[in-house]
Amino acid sequence: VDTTQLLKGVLDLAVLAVLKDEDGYGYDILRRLRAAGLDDVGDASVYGTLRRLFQAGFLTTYVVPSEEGPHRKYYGLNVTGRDQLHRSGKVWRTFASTMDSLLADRGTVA
Amino acid sequence: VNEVADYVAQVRTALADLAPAVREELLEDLPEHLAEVAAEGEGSLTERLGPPAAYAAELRAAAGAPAGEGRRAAVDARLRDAVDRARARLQVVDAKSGPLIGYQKGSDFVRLLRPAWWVMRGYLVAMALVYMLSAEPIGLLPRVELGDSTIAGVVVLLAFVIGSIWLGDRGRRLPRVPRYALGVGIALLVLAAMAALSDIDGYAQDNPYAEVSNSSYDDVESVYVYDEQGRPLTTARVFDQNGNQVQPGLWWCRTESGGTSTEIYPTCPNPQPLNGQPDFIAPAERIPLEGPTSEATVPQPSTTPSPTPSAGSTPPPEPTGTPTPAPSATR
Repeated sequence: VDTTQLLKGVLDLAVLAVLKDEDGYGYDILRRLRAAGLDDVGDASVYGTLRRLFQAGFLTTYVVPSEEGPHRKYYGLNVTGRDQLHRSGKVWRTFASTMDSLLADRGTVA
Repeated sequence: VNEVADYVAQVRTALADLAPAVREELLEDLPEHLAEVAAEGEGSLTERLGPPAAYAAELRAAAGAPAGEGRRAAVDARLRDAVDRARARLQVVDAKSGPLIGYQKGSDFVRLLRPAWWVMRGYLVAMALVYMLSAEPIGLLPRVELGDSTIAGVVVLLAFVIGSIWLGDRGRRLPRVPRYALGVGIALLVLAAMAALSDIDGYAQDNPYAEVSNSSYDDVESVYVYDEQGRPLTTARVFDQNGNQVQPGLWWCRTESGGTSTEIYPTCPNPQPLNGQPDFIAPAERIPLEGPTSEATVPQPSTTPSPTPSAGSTPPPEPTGTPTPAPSATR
Protein backbone atom coordinates (compact mmCIF):
# COMPACT_ATOMS: atom_id res chain seq x y z
CA VAL A 1 0.00 0.00 0.00
CA ASP A 2 1.25 3.39 -0.93
CA THR A 3 1.72 5.45 2.19
CA THR A 4 0.67 8.62 0.44
CA GLN A 5 -2.75 7.08 -0.16
CA LEU A 6 -3.12 6.32 3.52
CA LEU A 7 -1.84 9.74 4.45
CA LYS A 8 -4.59 11.42 2.53
CA GLY A 9 -7.13 10.00 4.90
CA VAL A 10 -5.33 10.84 8.10
CA LEU A 11 -3.37 13.98 7.38
CA ASP A 12 -6.06 16.13 9.00
CA LEU A 13 -5.77 14.16 12.16
CA ALA A 14 -1.98 14.17 12.07
CA VAL A 15 -1.83 17.93 11.68
CA LEU A 16 -4.31 18.47 14.49
CA ALA A 17 -2.26 16.12 16.62
CA VAL A 18 1.07 17.89 16.16
CA LEU A 19 -0.60 21.18 17.06
CA LYS A 20 -2.10 19.79 20.24
CA ASP A 21 0.64 20.88 22.57
CA GLU A 22 2.25 23.73 20.74
CA ASP A 23 1.34 26.21 18.02
CA GLY A 24 3.50 26.22 14.97
CA TYR A 25 4.08 27.77 11.57
CA GLY A 26 3.83 25.85 8.33
CA TYR A 27 7.35 24.64 7.97
CA ASP A 28 7.54 23.86 11.63
CA ILE A 29 4.45 21.68 11.40
CA LEU A 30 5.91 19.91 8.39
CA ARG A 31 9.06 19.15 10.35
CA ARG A 32 7.10 17.81 13.29
CA LEU A 33 5.19 15.48 11.02
CA ARG A 34 8.38 14.21 9.44
CA ALA A 35 10.08 13.86 12.77
CA ALA A 36 7.14 11.76 13.89
CA GLY A 37 7.82 9.40 11.02
CA LEU A 38 5.55 10.63 8.27
CA ASP A 39 8.40 11.06 5.84
CA ASP A 40 6.30 10.98 2.74
CA VAL A 41 4.11 13.92 3.60
CA GLY A 42 4.22 16.53 0.88
CA ASP A 43 4.86 20.19 1.57
CA ALA A 44 1.89 21.35 -0.42
CA SER A 45 -0.38 18.80 1.23
CA VAL A 46 0.43 20.19 4.65
CA TYR A 47 -0.22 23.76 3.62
CA GLY A 48 -3.40 22.80 1.84
CA THR A 49 -4.57 20.88 4.88
CA LEU A 50 -3.80 23.80 7.16
CA ARG A 51 -5.84 26.03 4.89
CA ARG A 52 -8.77 23.62 4.91
CA LEU A 53 -8.70 23.07 8.67
CA PHE A 54 -8.64 26.81 9.12
CA GLN A 55 -11.62 27.20 6.81
CA ALA A 56 -13.44 24.51 8.77
CA GLY A 57 -12.95 26.57 11.91
CA PHE A 58 -10.55 24.30 13.78
CA LEU A 59 -7.55 26.61 13.83
CA THR A 60 -6.60 30.07 14.90
CA THR A 61 -3.82 31.92 13.16
CA TYR A 62 -1.60 34.81 14.03
CA VAL A 63 1.42 36.37 12.49
CA VAL A 64 4.71 36.58 14.34
CA PRO A 65 7.38 38.92 13.04
CA SER A 66 10.73 37.23 12.76
CA GLU A 67 14.12 38.89 12.84
CA GLU A 68 15.44 37.03 9.84
CA GLY A 69 13.27 36.51 6.85
CA PRO A 70 9.57 36.95 6.36
CA HIS A 71 6.92 37.04 9.04
CA ARG A 72 5.63 33.67 10.11
CA LYS A 73 2.05 32.68 10.24
CA TYR A 74 1.40 30.51 13.24
CA TYR A 75 -1.43 28.04 13.58
CA GLY A 76 -2.96 26.78 16.78
CA LEU A 77 -5.92 24.65 17.84
CA ASN A 78 -9.02 26.39 19.08
CA VAL A 79 -11.73 24.71 21.11
CA THR A 80 -13.47 23.30 18.06
CA GLY A 81 -10.15 22.01 16.86
CA ARG A 82 -9.42 20.23 20.10
CA ASP A 83 -12.85 18.73 20.03
CA GLN A 84 -12.29 17.58 16.48
CA LEU A 85 -8.92 16.10 17.39
CA HIS A 86 -10.55 14.18 20.20
CA ARG A 87 -13.32 12.76 18.03
CA SER A 88 -11.12 12.00 15.04
CA GLY A 89 -8.60 10.39 17.30
CA LYS A 90 -11.23 8.04 18.61
CA VAL A 91 -12.41 7.15 15.13
CA TRP A 92 -8.84 6.45 14.11
CA ARG A 93 -8.11 4.24 17.12
CA THR A 94 -11.23 2.23 16.51
CA PHE A 95 -10.36 1.88 12.88
CA ALA A 96 -6.75 1.03 13.57
CA SER A 97 -7.58 -1.60 16.14
CA THR A 98 -10.15 -3.06 13.80
CA MET A 99 -7.50 -3.34 11.14
CA ASP A 100 -5.02 -4.73 13.65
CA SER A 101 -7.30 -7.47 14.78
CA LEU A 102 -8.35 -8.20 11.22
CA LEU A 103 -4.77 -8.71 10.23
CA ALA A 104 -3.91 -10.55 13.46
CA ASP A 105 -6.78 -13.00 12.95
CA ARG A 106 -5.29 -14.02 9.69
CA GLY A 107 -1.86 -14.30 11.14
CA THR A 108 -0.41 -11.57 8.98
CA VAL A 109 0.92 -9.57 11.87
CA ALA A 110 3.58 -11.18 13.91
CA VAL B 1 15.02 35.01 -3.95
CA ASN B 2 14.37 35.09 -7.66
CA GLU B 3 13.92 31.38 -7.65
CA VAL B 4 11.30 31.70 -4.93
CA ALA B 5 9.41 34.44 -6.73
CA ASP B 6 9.56 32.45 -9.91
CA TYR B 7 8.23 29.33 -8.28
CA VAL B 8 5.44 31.29 -6.60
CA ALA B 9 4.50 32.89 -9.87
CA GLN B 10 4.25 29.52 -11.58
CA VAL B 11 2.13 28.07 -8.80
CA ARG B 12 -0.08 31.13 -9.03
CA THR B 13 -0.50 30.60 -12.74
CA ALA B 14 -1.48 27.00 -12.16
CA LEU B 15 -4.15 28.20 -9.74
CA ALA B 16 -5.35 30.95 -12.05
CA ASP B 17 -8.83 29.53 -12.34
CA LEU B 18 -9.55 29.98 -8.64
CA ALA B 19 -11.23 33.07 -7.31
CA PRO B 20 -8.49 35.58 -6.53
CA ALA B 21 -9.25 35.61 -2.79
CA VAL B 22 -9.03 31.82 -2.52
CA ARG B 23 -5.90 31.72 -4.59
CA GLU B 24 -4.11 34.33 -2.55
CA GLU B 25 -5.06 32.53 0.64
CA LEU B 26 -3.54 29.36 -0.68
CA LEU B 27 -0.40 31.17 -1.71
CA GLU B 28 -0.08 33.11 1.49
CA ASP B 29 2.45 30.88 3.23
CA LEU B 30 4.26 29.84 0.10
CA PRO B 31 7.05 32.45 -0.16
CA GLU B 32 7.93 31.96 3.47
CA HIS B 33 7.95 28.22 3.08
CA LEU B 34 10.04 28.29 -0.06
CA ALA B 35 12.52 30.58 1.63
CA GLU B 36 12.92 28.06 4.43
CA VAL B 37 13.28 25.18 2.02
CA ALA B 38 15.82 27.07 -0.03
CA ALA B 39 17.79 28.05 3.04
CA GLU B 40 17.89 24.58 4.43
CA GLY B 41 19.43 22.41 1.80
CA GLU B 42 20.81 22.06 -1.63
CA GLY B 43 19.22 21.64 -4.97
CA SER B 44 16.72 23.75 -6.76
CA LEU B 45 13.19 24.16 -5.49
CA THR B 46 11.89 22.14 -8.39
CA GLU B 47 14.23 19.30 -7.55
CA ARG B 48 13.08 19.21 -3.97
CA LEU B 49 9.42 20.06 -4.24
CA GLY B 50 8.60 18.91 -7.72
CA PRO B 51 7.43 21.14 -10.52
CA PRO B 52 5.29 24.12 -9.54
CA ALA B 53 2.27 22.75 -11.37
CA ALA B 54 2.42 19.54 -9.31
CA TYR B 55 2.83 21.54 -6.13
CA ALA B 56 -0.21 23.59 -7.11
CA ALA B 57 -2.25 20.47 -7.80
CA GLU B 58 -1.33 18.98 -4.43
CA LEU B 59 -2.08 22.21 -2.65
CA ARG B 60 -5.40 22.47 -4.38
CA ALA B 61 -6.37 18.90 -3.57
CA ALA B 62 -5.33 19.09 0.06
CA ALA B 63 -7.10 22.37 0.60
CA GLY B 64 -10.26 20.94 -0.87
CA ALA B 65 -10.39 23.70 -3.44
CA PRO B 66 -12.24 22.83 -6.59
CA ALA B 67 -10.00 21.03 -9.03
CA GLY B 68 -9.23 22.78 -12.26
CA GLU B 69 -12.57 24.05 -13.48
CA GLY B 70 -11.57 23.57 -17.02
CA ARG B 71 -10.08 25.74 -19.61
CA ARG B 72 -12.82 28.26 -19.86
CA ALA B 73 -12.82 29.13 -16.20
CA ALA B 74 -9.07 29.48 -16.33
CA VAL B 75 -9.31 31.80 -19.30
CA ASP B 76 -11.97 33.84 -17.54
CA ALA B 77 -9.83 34.11 -14.47
CA ARG B 78 -6.81 35.11 -16.48
CA LEU B 79 -8.88 37.71 -18.27
CA ARG B 80 -10.12 39.06 -14.97
CA ASP B 81 -6.57 39.19 -13.74
CA ALA B 82 -5.40 41.01 -16.84
CA VAL B 83 -8.18 43.55 -16.47
CA ASP B 84 -7.33 44.05 -12.82
CA ARG B 85 -3.68 44.51 -13.59
CA ALA B 86 -4.38 46.92 -16.43
CA ARG B 87 -6.64 48.93 -14.19
CA ALA B 88 -4.01 49.09 -11.48
CA ARG B 89 -1.42 50.19 -14.00
CA LEU B 90 -3.74 52.86 -15.32
CA GLN B 91 -4.23 54.18 -11.84
CA VAL B 92 -0.50 54.44 -11.43
CA VAL B 93 -0.18 56.31 -14.72
CA ASP B 94 -3.06 58.53 -13.67
CA ALA B 95 -1.39 59.42 -10.40
CA LYS B 96 2.03 59.93 -11.93
CA SER B 97 0.95 61.97 -14.94
CA GLY B 98 -0.95 64.49 -12.82
CA PRO B 99 2.01 66.40 -11.38
CA LEU B 100 3.55 66.73 -14.84
CA ILE B 101 0.72 69.00 -15.90
CA GLY B 102 0.09 70.57 -12.54
CA TYR B 103 -2.78 68.46 -11.34
CA GLN B 104 -3.09 65.89 -8.62
CA LYS B 105 -4.11 63.21 -11.06
CA GLY B 106 -4.16 63.10 -14.82
CA SER B 107 -7.84 62.28 -14.75
CA ASP B 108 -8.55 65.50 -12.85
CA PHE B 109 -7.46 67.40 -15.91
CA VAL B 110 -9.24 65.13 -18.34
CA ARG B 111 -12.42 65.65 -16.38
CA LEU B 112 -12.13 69.39 -17.00
CA LEU B 113 -12.21 68.69 -20.71
CA ARG B 114 -15.67 67.19 -20.54
CA PRO B 115 -17.60 70.26 -21.78
CA ALA B 116 -15.18 70.51 -24.69
CA TRP B 117 -16.00 66.93 -25.48
CA TRP B 118 -19.71 67.72 -25.42
CA VAL B 119 -19.22 70.46 -28.02
CA MET B 120 -17.11 68.12 -30.10
CA ARG B 121 -19.76 65.43 -29.82
CA GLY B 122 -22.46 67.76 -31.12
CA TYR B 123 -20.25 68.71 -34.03
CA LEU B 124 -19.56 65.09 -34.89
CA VAL B 125 -23.23 64.14 -34.79
CA ALA B 126 -24.12 67.06 -37.04
CA MET B 127 -21.39 66.10 -39.48
CA ALA B 128 -22.41 62.47 -39.49
CA LEU B 129 -26.08 63.24 -40.10
CA VAL B 130 -25.40 65.71 -42.88
CA TYR B 131 -22.95 63.34 -44.44
CA MET B 132 -25.45 60.51 -44.43
CA LEU B 133 -28.25 62.66 -45.84
CA SER B 134 -26.31 64.48 -48.51
CA ALA B 135 -24.50 63.25 -51.55
CA GLU B 136 -21.73 65.77 -51.41
CA PRO B 137 -18.28 64.81 -50.19
CA ILE B 138 -17.71 65.76 -46.62
CA GLY B 139 -15.85 68.90 -45.66
CA LEU B 140 -15.17 70.50 -42.34
CA LEU B 141 -18.54 72.21 -41.98
CA PRO B 142 -21.88 70.50 -42.35
CA ARG B 143 -23.39 71.50 -45.69
CA VAL B 144 -27.11 71.38 -46.11
CA GLU B 145 -28.67 71.59 -49.55
CA LEU B 146 -31.01 74.35 -48.55
CA GLY B 147 -30.54 77.79 -49.96
CA ASP B 148 -27.25 79.07 -48.69
CA SER B 149 -25.73 75.85 -47.62
CA THR B 150 -23.13 77.34 -45.30
CA ILE B 151 -25.64 79.29 -43.21
CA ALA B 152 -28.03 76.36 -43.03
CA GLY B 153 -25.14 74.11 -42.11
CA VAL B 154 -24.07 76.39 -39.29
CA VAL B 155 -27.61 76.44 -37.95
CA VAL B 156 -27.70 72.67 -37.93
CA LEU B 157 -24.31 72.59 -36.30
CA LEU B 158 -25.36 74.97 -33.54
CA ALA B 159 -28.51 72.99 -32.88
CA PHE B 160 -26.59 69.79 -32.38
CA VAL B 161 -23.87 71.35 -30.30
CA ILE B 162 -26.44 72.89 -27.98
CA GLY B 163 -28.26 69.60 -27.80
CA SER B 164 -25.09 67.79 -26.92
CA ILE B 165 -24.24 70.30 -24.21
CA TRP B 166 -27.73 69.93 -22.83
CA LEU B 167 -27.32 66.17 -22.79
CA GLY B 168 -24.00 66.69 -21.05
CA ASP B 169 -23.57 64.07 -18.41
CA ARG B 170 -27.23 63.10 -18.40
CA GLY B 171 -26.31 60.27 -20.73
CA ARG B 172 -24.58 58.48 -17.89
CA ARG B 173 -27.73 58.43 -15.83
CA LEU B 174 -29.74 56.64 -18.48
CA PRO B 175 -30.86 53.08 -17.87
CA ARG B 176 -28.49 50.41 -18.94
CA VAL B 177 -29.63 49.60 -22.46
CA PRO B 178 -29.96 53.13 -23.84
CA ARG B 179 -26.73 54.02 -22.12
CA TYR B 180 -24.88 51.20 -23.82
CA ALA B 181 -26.50 52.08 -27.14
CA LEU B 182 -25.33 55.65 -26.69
CA GLY B 183 -21.84 54.45 -25.90
CA VAL B 184 -21.65 52.22 -28.94
CA GLY B 185 -23.04 54.99 -31.14
CA ILE B 186 -20.45 57.44 -29.92
CA ALA B 187 -17.66 54.93 -30.39
CA LEU B 188 -18.74 54.41 -34.00
CA LEU B 189 -19.03 58.14 -34.45
CA VAL B 190 -15.49 58.70 -33.25
CA LEU B 191 -14.19 55.98 -35.55
CA ALA B 192 -16.02 57.50 -38.52
CA ALA B 193 -14.71 60.91 -37.59
CA MET B 194 -11.15 59.63 -37.58
CA ALA B 195 -11.65 58.13 -41.02
CA ALA B 196 -13.20 61.33 -42.34
CA LEU B 197 -10.43 63.41 -40.82
CA SER B 198 -7.75 61.36 -42.49
CA ASP B 199 -9.64 61.72 -45.79
CA ILE B 200 -9.83 65.46 -45.45
CA ASP B 201 -6.21 65.60 -44.48
CA GLY B 202 -5.47 63.56 -47.57
CA TYR B 203 -7.22 66.05 -49.85
CA ALA B 204 -5.37 68.90 -48.26
CA GLN B 205 -2.04 67.25 -48.86
CA ASP B 206 -2.64 65.73 -52.25
CA ASN B 207 -3.80 68.86 -53.96
CA PRO B 208 -0.93 71.29 -54.37
CA TYR B 209 -2.58 72.74 -57.49
CA ALA B 210 -5.65 73.90 -55.67
CA GLU B 211 -4.26 77.41 -55.33
CA VAL B 212 -3.37 77.91 -58.96
CA SER B 213 -6.67 76.65 -60.26
CA ASN B 214 -7.49 80.09 -61.61
CA SER B 215 -4.61 79.94 -64.04
CA SER B 216 -5.57 80.88 -67.56
CA TYR B 217 -3.94 77.68 -68.79
CA ASP B 218 -6.31 75.38 -67.04
CA ASP B 219 -7.98 74.14 -70.16
CA VAL B 220 -4.77 73.85 -72.12
CA GLU B 221 -4.26 70.29 -73.06
CA SER B 222 -1.64 70.48 -75.70
CA VAL B 223 0.82 72.93 -77.10
CA TYR B 224 1.95 73.57 -80.65
CA VAL B 225 4.93 75.68 -81.44
CA TYR B 226 5.46 77.51 -84.68
CA ASP B 227 8.51 79.22 -85.85
CA GLU B 228 8.51 82.76 -87.11
CA GLN B 229 7.71 81.59 -90.58
CA GLY B 230 4.64 79.86 -89.30
CA ARG B 231 6.02 76.38 -89.73
CA PRO B 232 5.13 73.97 -86.99
CA LEU B 233 8.12 72.76 -85.05
CA THR B 234 7.95 69.04 -84.85
CA THR B 235 10.92 67.79 -82.93
CA ALA B 236 11.34 70.45 -80.29
CA ARG B 237 11.52 69.78 -76.57
CA VAL B 238 9.73 71.97 -74.08
CA PHE B 239 11.00 72.92 -70.64
CA ASP B 240 9.51 74.79 -67.75
CA GLN B 241 11.10 77.66 -65.83
CA ASN B 242 12.98 75.24 -63.62
CA GLY B 243 14.53 73.41 -66.48
CA ASN B 244 12.29 70.39 -66.15
CA GLN B 245 11.03 68.94 -69.34
CA VAL B 246 7.34 69.51 -69.91
CA GLN B 247 5.38 66.94 -71.77
CA PRO B 248 2.57 68.77 -73.40
CA GLY B 249 0.23 66.85 -75.54
CA LEU B 250 -3.03 65.06 -75.27
CA TRP B 251 -2.51 62.09 -73.09
CA TRP B 252 -4.12 59.73 -75.52
CA CYS B 253 -1.51 60.67 -78.09
CA ARG B 254 1.40 59.52 -75.98
CA THR B 255 2.86 56.35 -77.27
CA GLU B 256 2.85 53.77 -74.64
CA SER B 257 5.77 52.00 -76.19
CA GLY B 258 7.91 54.40 -74.20
CA GLY B 259 11.27 55.56 -75.36
CA THR B 260 12.39 59.02 -76.10
CA SER B 261 9.72 59.57 -78.70
CA THR B 262 7.20 60.38 -76.01
CA GLU B 263 9.35 63.18 -74.70
CA ILE B 264 9.60 64.90 -78.01
CA TYR B 265 7.05 67.47 -78.86
CA PRO B 266 4.55 67.34 -80.33
CA THR B 267 2.98 64.23 -79.03
CA CYS B 268 0.02 64.64 -81.29
CA PRO B 269 1.60 65.39 -84.57
CA ASN B 270 -1.47 65.15 -86.72
CA PRO B 271 -4.10 67.53 -85.45
CA GLN B 272 -2.29 70.77 -86.06
CA PRO B 273 -4.61 73.51 -84.98
CA LEU B 274 -3.44 75.85 -87.74
CA ASN B 275 -3.35 74.40 -91.16
CA GLY B 276 -0.32 75.34 -93.01
CA GLN B 277 1.01 78.80 -92.84
CA PRO B 278 -0.77 80.90 -90.26
CA ASP B 279 -1.23 84.47 -91.24
CA PHE B 280 -0.40 86.07 -87.93
CA ILE B 281 3.29 85.90 -88.59
CA ALA B 282 4.91 89.22 -88.97
CA PRO B 283 7.70 88.58 -91.42
CA ALA B 284 11.27 89.38 -90.74
CA GLU B 285 11.22 89.72 -87.02
CA ARG B 286 14.36 88.93 -85.15
CA ILE B 287 15.17 85.27 -85.00
CA PRO B 288 17.13 84.59 -81.86
CA LEU B 289 16.71 80.84 -81.92
CA GLU B 290 19.74 79.88 -79.88
CA GLY B 291 19.11 76.28 -79.36
CA PRO B 292 16.90 74.44 -76.96
CA THR B 293 17.35 76.75 -73.98
CA SER B 294 15.61 79.61 -75.63
CA GLU B 295 12.77 77.34 -76.46
CA ALA B 296 12.89 75.95 -73.01
CA THR B 297 12.02 79.31 -71.68
CA VAL B 298 8.64 79.04 -73.27
CA PRO B 299 6.51 76.91 -71.03
CA GLN B 300 2.95 76.02 -71.75
CA PRO B 301 1.79 78.69 -74.06
CA SER B 302 -1.91 78.87 -74.58
CA THR B 303 -3.54 76.98 -77.38
CA THR B 304 -4.63 80.22 -78.80
CA PRO B 305 -1.71 80.52 -81.02
CA SER B 306 -1.85 84.27 -81.26
CA PRO B 307 1.38 85.09 -79.48
CA THR B 308 4.30 83.42 -81.01
CA PRO B 309 5.99 82.14 -77.97
CA SER B 310 9.28 81.79 -79.60
CA ALA B 311 11.43 84.74 -78.75
CA GLY B 312 11.43 88.01 -76.92
CA SER B 313 9.36 89.73 -79.52
CA THR B 314 6.79 92.23 -78.45
CA PRO B 315 3.70 90.29 -77.60
CA PRO B 316 0.51 90.81 -79.49
CA PRO B 317 -2.19 92.55 -77.52
CA GLU B 318 -4.43 89.56 -76.84
CA PRO B 319 -4.54 89.16 -73.09
CA THR B 320 -5.15 85.44 -72.93
CA GLY B 321 -1.85 84.74 -74.47
CA THR B 322 0.36 86.80 -72.29
CA PRO B 323 2.65 84.15 -70.96
CA THR B 324 2.55 85.30 -67.39
CA PRO B 325 4.10 82.21 -65.86
CA ALA B 326 6.87 82.36 -68.37
CA PRO B 327 9.61 84.28 -66.66
CA SER B 328 11.73 84.11 -69.72
CA ALA B 329 10.38 86.56 -72.21
CA THR B 330 11.44 90.17 -72.25
CA ARG B 331 13.37 91.06 -69.14
